[in-house]
Amino acid sequence: MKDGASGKGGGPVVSKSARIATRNRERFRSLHLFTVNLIGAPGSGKTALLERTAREFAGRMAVIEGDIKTTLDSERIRAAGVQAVQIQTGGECHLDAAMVERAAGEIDLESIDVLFIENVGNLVCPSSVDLGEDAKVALTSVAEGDEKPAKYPALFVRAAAVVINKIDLLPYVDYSVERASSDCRKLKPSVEIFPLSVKTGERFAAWMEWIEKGREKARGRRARS
Amino acid sequence: MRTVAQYAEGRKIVAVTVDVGPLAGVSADALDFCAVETAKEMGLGEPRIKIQQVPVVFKCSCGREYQAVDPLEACPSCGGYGREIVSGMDVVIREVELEDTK
Repeated sequence: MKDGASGKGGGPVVSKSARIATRNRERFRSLHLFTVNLIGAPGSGKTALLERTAREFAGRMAVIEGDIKTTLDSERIRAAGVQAVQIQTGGECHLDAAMVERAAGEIDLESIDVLFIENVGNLVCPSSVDLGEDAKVALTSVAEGDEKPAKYPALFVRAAAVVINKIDLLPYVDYSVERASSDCRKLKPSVEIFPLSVKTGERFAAWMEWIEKGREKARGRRARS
Repeated sequence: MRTVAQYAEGRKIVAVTVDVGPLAGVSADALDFCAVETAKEMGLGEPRIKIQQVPVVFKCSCGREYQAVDPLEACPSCGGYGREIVSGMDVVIREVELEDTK
């Protein structure tokens, strides 16, 4: 490909979606937002995590909700008192950067500090799609089994943080938080791991501190610019 | 295919060689099917898509660089996991073969 004829190349394929993701990231950063792309299986508790986060967070946040169908999740988030925009993909198994760009246009970004993007419930397809976020967060629950990091490495090598939800169910399931955490660290040594229960609030404070730290860091970008 | 088309300069594409990393999150079968269909639609011919499944390349903090198909494989030198991923997260176009022009 070097001379415009047959030949050998080497650079990664940069898609149109990746270019829009870069545009999103520049926009979010210029507004000093901390943006999180939340990825987890259906039923792992993504919306519940964000509902509780909305109630406990001292700062200002908004949520972009991705689902194949229905506006149920954005209604739940709004009931928790924050702005929420619903994307209905109509069948697509993951969000892409263009969908996020359009949804972000409906949010008053100037009025918030943290933007959560809740991806479509899926541990596979959303993993490698950049939306322009600061951090990917993988959400898994103890009911799903502790082999999830090993089975879905494409997600867990990219996740800056992993939330292990539903620890209140640990007495009833065979789940080793140690095994799951150890696999997560093997795949990404710098990962932050938060075993917690959204339902009971147990160990939820550590997650909130991480969000707060992300917000502070995003503010720091403001101080330097 | 749009990336590939830039280099075709109006010629038909005979074959494309693509490296798919185990952590790219890309299905080889789907990529094969879609790339051929897209090429046909773009009037670029019906290229053969040669997909090479490449291993993950790690650089360990002990200095060793190693390859593994299983991303949970420890460093063969120190047995540790304090490592960075060098490659294996991307789809890389290695080679584009174009038809001969007269």
